[in-house]
Amino acid sequence: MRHSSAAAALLAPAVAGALGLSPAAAHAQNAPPAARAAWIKACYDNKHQESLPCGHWRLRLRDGRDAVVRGAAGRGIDGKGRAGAFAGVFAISADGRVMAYERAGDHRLVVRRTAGGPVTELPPAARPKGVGSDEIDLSLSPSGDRVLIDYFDAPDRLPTKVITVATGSITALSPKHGALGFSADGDEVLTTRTLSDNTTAMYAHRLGGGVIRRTPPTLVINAATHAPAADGTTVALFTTSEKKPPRVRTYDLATGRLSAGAELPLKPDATPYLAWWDAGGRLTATVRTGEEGKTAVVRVLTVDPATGTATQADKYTIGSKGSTFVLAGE
Amino acid sequence: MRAKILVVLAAALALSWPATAHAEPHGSHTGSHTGSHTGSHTASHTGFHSGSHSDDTIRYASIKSCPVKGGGTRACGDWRLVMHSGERTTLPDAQGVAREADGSSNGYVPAAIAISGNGRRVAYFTKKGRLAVRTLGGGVRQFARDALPKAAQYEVTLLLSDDGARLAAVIGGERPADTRVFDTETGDLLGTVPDEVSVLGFSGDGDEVFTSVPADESVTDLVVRGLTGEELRRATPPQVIEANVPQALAADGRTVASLVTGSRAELVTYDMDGDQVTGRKRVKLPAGDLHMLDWTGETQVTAHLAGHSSGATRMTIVQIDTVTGQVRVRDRYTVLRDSYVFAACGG
Repeated sequence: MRHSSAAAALLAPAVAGALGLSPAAAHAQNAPPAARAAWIKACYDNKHQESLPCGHWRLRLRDGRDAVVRGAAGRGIDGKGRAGAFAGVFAISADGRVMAYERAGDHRLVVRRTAGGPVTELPPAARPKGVGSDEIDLSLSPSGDRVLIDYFDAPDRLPTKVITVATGSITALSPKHGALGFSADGDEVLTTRTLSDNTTAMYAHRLGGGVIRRTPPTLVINAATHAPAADGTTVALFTTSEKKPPRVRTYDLATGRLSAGAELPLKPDATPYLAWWDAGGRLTATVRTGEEGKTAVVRVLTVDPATGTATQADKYTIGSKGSTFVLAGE
Repeated sequence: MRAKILVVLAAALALSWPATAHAEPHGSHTGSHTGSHTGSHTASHTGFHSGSHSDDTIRYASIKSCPVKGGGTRACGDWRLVMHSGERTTLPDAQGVAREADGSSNGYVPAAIAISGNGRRVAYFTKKGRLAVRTLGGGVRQFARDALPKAAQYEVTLLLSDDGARLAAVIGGERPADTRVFDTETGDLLGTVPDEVSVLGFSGDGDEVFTSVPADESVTDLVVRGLTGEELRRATPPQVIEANVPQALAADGRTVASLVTGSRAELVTYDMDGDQVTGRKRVKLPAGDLHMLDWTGETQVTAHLAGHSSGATRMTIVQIDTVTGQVRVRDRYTVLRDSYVFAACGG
């Protein structure tokens, strides 16, 4: 399943240049709105006797309009290059300004600003031979300058890759690690790994080199969502309880200090499932309601990790009739 | 050696499927260990009624596996007891194949059974459906007809303290009920533990019930309760305790042990009151999966390690010094190959 966060994009500065997107998006003279999400509709396929993604991926913009992304493959391919019964890879950065997708035609993984402009190809190694689109878990750093790719290969042999979009340089992480996401500035990747004593250790990998590691309390590992801050050691957590509202806390990987945190003004089942620190250092979380395959109500909240105070930054609905969607930051 | 074990504590045991159960056709290995030795046991074998056998204690209970037409296996016959001396006998008054809540036979799975850590007591359902505890060389305590709520005999898990003085009956299945804690001498109900709580066993001296329960923020708390069920102590343990099961509670009611198995085996102790890991000792363990862990002394835990070789379950029981990390093998045996399921003594 995919989703992402639409959020904080309001503060992004104006982007120069024309959209280069489809006619569905009427060109505005000023800064084009950031993307909240991307989606692709489903059509019943008589041959497969099931609903399959069809047509083009579309961006859902902050102003409510849709913009067709013609260059992106609507359907992915399997490991042998055949059309799959699943959508093509698609991701949007948390700030809603950058997207990554597999290109229609050659299925090469590429990165582009959601406002349009030149397409940056990721190195061919981003998509190892024999890896189907449904085996690729791709996410972008909050501002879209880096890409994290995990592969659902079994047994787990392919290293997780971190690619700097501008240079194409690749940092490989051991396949023994599971990635939880980028720090706010994209300079660190947070991972976990199970050790021989059956505990799970948490690591902050500095992409320039160096790693901080600690075995945290169970609560930290079991948290629903983790968001590493720009300092690379503070991790915001959202935990869930059966009968109490979700709670926000911070954990410092360098010192092991876990904050008492605070409950959020949310229902127990409204678990923030995406979270990141925006460019202004504010913690942002996305809450989604609605069952799988049905229309989702997405709320983007700015959260004070000390008090639990939450302010709604955005709210929208997306997904219906079996469509596939991915939220910004997912 | 047995004397030492008697002095000490710890218990708990659950039914365990032997490696052999569904893997190999029974009866094809008669080697040194076993043979399908069923039905022919008589009272003359038993240590129950004979003072001269009073030093002998139960190693484990086993129920035979029979093939099912069309494939698969089922439990069949009576519960068999295998003693430390190697002698075997049956529990003639114990229900073997479980009855449903309405009294009809399930036909496939066995009724609950438990052996105390010291190997001197066995808890089971009688053929008349009553909960009972038998003491080697002693009598049988039958519990009240309404000792347990109506439940299928396979939905009940029985846990004895190391000395067999306390019995916990966990009622699971579709209609779980509160766990009931009994005094096995008198058959009296001492207390209950809410059904949403997992009962892990008794403390080393049998004076507390060791439980775990899901807590807020997706963690599991360890909770020590009195025999009446009241909460005495609660802690959210660190990962190394939470992740290495089963945990065992010492006689002091606050020290928890976990055993990390594998190539870097460690004995970890944790103080619930101080919320501190108080010891991590590297230990050398024989191969096998951790099957049971019990405190059997002030500075000793006993671990049952179950290995699997050529289709049989090989049990190795080791005593570990919690201070020095020294490991001593107390016992080794191969579970009867024709077993559908077995229940080892703890401790």
